[in-house]
Amino acid sequence: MWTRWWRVALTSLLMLVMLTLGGGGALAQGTPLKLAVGAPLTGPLAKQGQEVANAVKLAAEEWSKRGGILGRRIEVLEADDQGNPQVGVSAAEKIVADPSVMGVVYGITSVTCIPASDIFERANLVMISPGCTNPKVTDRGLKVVNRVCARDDAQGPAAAIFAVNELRARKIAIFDDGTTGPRGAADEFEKQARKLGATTLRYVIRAGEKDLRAVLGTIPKDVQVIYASLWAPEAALMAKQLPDVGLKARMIGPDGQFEPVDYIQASGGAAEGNYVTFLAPDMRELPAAQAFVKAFEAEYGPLSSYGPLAYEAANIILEAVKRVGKPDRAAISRAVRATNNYRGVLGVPITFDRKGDVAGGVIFVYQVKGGAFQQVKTIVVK
Amino acid sequence: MDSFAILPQQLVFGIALGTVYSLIALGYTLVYGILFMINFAHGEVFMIGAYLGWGLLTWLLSAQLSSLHPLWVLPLLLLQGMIGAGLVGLSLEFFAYRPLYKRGATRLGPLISAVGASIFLQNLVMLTQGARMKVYMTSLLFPPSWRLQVAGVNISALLIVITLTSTLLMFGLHYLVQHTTLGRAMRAVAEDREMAEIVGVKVWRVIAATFFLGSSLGGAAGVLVGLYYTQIDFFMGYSAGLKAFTAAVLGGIGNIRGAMLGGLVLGIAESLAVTFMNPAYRDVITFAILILTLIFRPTGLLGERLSEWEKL
Repeated sequence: MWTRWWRVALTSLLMLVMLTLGGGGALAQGTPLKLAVGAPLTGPLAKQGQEVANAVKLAAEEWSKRGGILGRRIEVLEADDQGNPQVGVSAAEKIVADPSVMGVVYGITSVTCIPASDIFERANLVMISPGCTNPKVTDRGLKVVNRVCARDDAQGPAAAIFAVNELRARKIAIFDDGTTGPRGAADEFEKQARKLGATTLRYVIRAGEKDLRAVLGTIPKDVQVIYASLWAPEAALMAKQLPDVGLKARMIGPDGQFEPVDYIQASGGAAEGNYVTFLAPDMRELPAAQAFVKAFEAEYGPLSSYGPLAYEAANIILEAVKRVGKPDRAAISRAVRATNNYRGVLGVPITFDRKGDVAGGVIFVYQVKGGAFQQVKTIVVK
Repeated sequence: MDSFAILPQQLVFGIALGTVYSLIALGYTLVYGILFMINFAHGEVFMIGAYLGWGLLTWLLSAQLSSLHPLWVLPLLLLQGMIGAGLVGLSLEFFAYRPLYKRGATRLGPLISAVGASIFLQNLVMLTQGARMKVYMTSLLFPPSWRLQVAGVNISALLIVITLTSTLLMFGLHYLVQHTTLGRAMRAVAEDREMAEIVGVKVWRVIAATFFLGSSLGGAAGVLVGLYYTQIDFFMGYSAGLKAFTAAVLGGIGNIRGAMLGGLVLGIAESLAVTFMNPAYRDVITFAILILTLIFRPTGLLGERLSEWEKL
């Protein structure tokens, strides 16, 4: 009996404490400011997601070392979205609930970026995405949403231009996994390829499917190029299983395959010679990026995918916080959108347009050569 | 392209997929035949088998042995996967089900316990092995160049090995259940547990042996799937388990021959569905087959019970 009363009393006390803590409006001086990062930290896309989180942590550390902003240290709040929209929404709720968070570097999957951005919009919390490429991410006209990557209506067509003009493909099989991002890129690819005179065939495989042989077996044998709008694990499977159906076609894939471990290594050599389009140039070739590459690799190991984009995004937000000079989410959001000619590590000056997209669409084509990605072509899409 | 021209190739893929489904389905069917319970943690046993095989293969590859010939590596992988998965099955029976039965639980209790065990095992593997997928470096064991071309049909060595191994294991089980003392005891327990106990069959020992057997087949399937698909993750048991369960129901749950047939039918049906329809409809076909079976032939293609098998 008594234990029960104790339990009730304790619970109510706890709830009271939590309410006062959560409701505390103004920030105490000296407490750290936070930059949040949301990405798939577990699950099949964890490799890319972890790199995003690490790049943001690196940026925050560097700012803290330089004395922070307004005399406060910069801390990072990590939220795992698992590349899943439901989990992404709760990750976003967790982020906006923390009043010391001033901005978010969010998302490499459009399917999570879109619902999460609605939550950030309601909280006036600025978001920059390092890798959500679907047009809808910014086309909905949200005030807080920006991205440093190119859009699928640049990436898909760039791959199509490359396939038709460079690889001379007349007949192309197009795969996507049915989710927002990959499907969007595949649609844009198809439009452009048809415009350039190629014949296209569409296929869908579910994300997580392991046996692609039956589907691959239905591809006509005169297909020269496959545009595989899939993530790295599925692309590796496809590369590996293509010989099983006796198909000798080159694969081209979007940014989600720009992952040496989960694509090149996982394919056991089968990806050799295939192409991947990516949103950033080869960082090792860029003078402006050398310090970043060195610092990142010293702490977190080889840089392989969205790291540079996430690092750029984090710095743009922190730069805006500094310009605004107070922890005011709405003002910071406006300051980020006003970013003009920011020169960071990506080698292209960043200016956000009315919708929060980077002006201009430059896509970099890489080929898998000797087990690594080699930049082979730069394509500008108007 | 003409769908019929690629039919032989699709059939070959369907048979390979089907034998793997059958192998997993046997685990469901064996346990159901004896305890009338769906062991929903069986998919996880299969997944653990795949991880065990991966661990050993990765270790062998890193040990830089002069030659890794599939002739001795494959049996080693299978043996380790089977024993490991068998032990997992044994402990499931001992910790998750036996206490419930001993306390007189109805059929619902162990079922919930099975779902709990399934979630527990999934998370255990995720937390200890990480959430990222693991890759079987199959190409070092079976070079992609080892393949046959028969009348335009492409058959890799690996595909032959997988189909043969599954078939052999199933015949082994068939022999064991039909022609050994343990097999007779198993059939007796399935027929009438109390009567079997009265005539001196050690019922719980037989149940434990059944769990070990079914789980070790699941473990073998895990290793084979790992070799065939090359990517494994902690969640793989869920969908594979669901498909195999469908196969077991399709053939007649509790019926060993039914599980084999059900798996084969399902694998071929999936391959053909992909050939003639939009591949996105693959799972729709699978589960439409399940629903149709349940409506028109609720006891499955070959009828239900393990014990009735002999009479068929």
